[in-house]
Amino acid sequence: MSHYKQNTHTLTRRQAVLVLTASAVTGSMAAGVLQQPLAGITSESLRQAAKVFGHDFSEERLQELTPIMDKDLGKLQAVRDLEIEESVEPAIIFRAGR
Amino acid sequence: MVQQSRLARLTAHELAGLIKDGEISPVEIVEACLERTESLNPSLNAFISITKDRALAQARKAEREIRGGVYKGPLHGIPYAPKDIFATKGIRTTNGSKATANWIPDFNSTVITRLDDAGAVMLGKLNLHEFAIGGGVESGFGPARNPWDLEYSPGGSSSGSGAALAAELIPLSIGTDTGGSVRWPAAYSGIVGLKPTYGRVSRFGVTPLSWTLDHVGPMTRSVVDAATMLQVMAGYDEKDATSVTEAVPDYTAALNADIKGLRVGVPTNFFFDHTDPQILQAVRLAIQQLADMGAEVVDVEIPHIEYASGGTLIMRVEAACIHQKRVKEVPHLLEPEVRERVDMAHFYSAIDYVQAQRARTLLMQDMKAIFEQCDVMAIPASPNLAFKLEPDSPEQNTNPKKQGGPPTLQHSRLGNMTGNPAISLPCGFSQGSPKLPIGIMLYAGAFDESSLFRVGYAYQSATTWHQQRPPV
Repeated sequence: MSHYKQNTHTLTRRQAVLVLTASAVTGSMAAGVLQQPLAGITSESLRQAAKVFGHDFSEERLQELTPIMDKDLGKLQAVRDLEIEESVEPAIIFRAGR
Repeated sequence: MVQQSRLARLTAHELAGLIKDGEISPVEIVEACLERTESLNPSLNAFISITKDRALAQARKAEREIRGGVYKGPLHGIPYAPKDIFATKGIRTTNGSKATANWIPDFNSTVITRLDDAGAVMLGKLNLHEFAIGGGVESGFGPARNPWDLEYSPGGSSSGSGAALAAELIPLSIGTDTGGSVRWPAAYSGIVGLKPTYGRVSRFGVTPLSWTLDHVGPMTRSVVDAATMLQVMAGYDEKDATSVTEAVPDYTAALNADIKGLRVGVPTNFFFDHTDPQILQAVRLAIQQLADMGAEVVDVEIPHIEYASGGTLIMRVEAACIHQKRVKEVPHLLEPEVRERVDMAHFYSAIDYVQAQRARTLLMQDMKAIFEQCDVMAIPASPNLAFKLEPDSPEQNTNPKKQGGPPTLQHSRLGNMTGNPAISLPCGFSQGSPKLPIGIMLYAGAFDESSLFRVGYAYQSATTWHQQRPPV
């Protein structure tokens, strides 16, 4: 069984939660800390990403989305940082012959 | 003889007794509910559509049937109103959106058909956050208002259901719950909201938001009524691929006040860490009440609770698949936050989505282990009180979604992520002014709604929180 984990040299959200809880940093203060973006997003980087994902947003819409995505990045990164063993399958139902 | 003005204030269980005994007619009940609705809806904005003529015709039909000796059961002749996201044949179904404001389905959702077959009388369609996207999103028809204080939100996304039940316009409603949209308004409005186990109630004919998270559940003013409604709504439906063939038990058998020896799990992590002190106190007292009645309180832990945040990603991605065409074609008809959430999901990768679905597996394992240690788990239904719809300043905006503050959704989304059933019950009020409701949420093992009804019924038999009336 593999025990590969992502970002083993950086502080993951799960670890951050444990550290914050142990430090009695809870509630909106903890939420605020955890929602800090890991890196700034610009409308240009968003435009490039949209191109890769196959979406065509107007320049105006990209400008509107940039601060929102920047704010959201911390939450997205938290999901990306989840430590899950390889043996854990996704909870998606597939039933042959349905 | 019960005065007509009081009829709208009775529970479905109380009304059914009067109908069965021939003391009152369904027509009188429907007329009383319509009168109260027409008087209060302008200030509450709970109803999007009122189907008065149809309701009266249905009530007259029920009256004829019952007088003729054909009594269909405890919902026969009882008024209800669904959240306006359930397809209703020949009746406008707006989804709370200007984009679908004129949609008139040519079919009924399965739940509507089952309630029709049980003789329930539909009074109209209730307001909701646009397309049932909860949190800060509002309805394309303006916000529903909380009867406990009209300046406050009744919660959402089943906002009209919460407001209409609390204001005693109707005794029964049905809502949908993708991240807490039945249980959140139940807590904010001081009513009962049940999210059944995933697959227990058909979702056919309900406009989807997120296929793997959506649930349909009853919203009522008492646990007895929730059990009665679920009895009718539950069961296999070949039209819904996620519907299960699991047998539906007799839920009324669970309605006895004896909870001696029943184990109530109380999480030692997360849920009590970030909760409003007034809510903490009320929920702790409610747990003590259950202990005083003979329940055994045990500590439990959900090791992966913070993984429930993956539910937001799952919901956004699935909602984007459903609504992306609409966002592209008629963006001007949508609330800005709906557009935002759909557009944001375009930047999530397939790996992100599958990773969130794997987190879900871990949470399901956690819940399975917990319900080997206890029968129900008790937590605050929401960590915060209802928020002001139009705060005087950004600092006064306590809408948790707007503030990015306390992780409100984790309390309820846990149940959407794992599929476990959960019920929200009134358990107190905030001090001072305004007096706002507080709710406790009980979770149970998969397909064990009976334990929720058993504990909920026992609690409501010993307390009067659910009988308090708002100042409208």
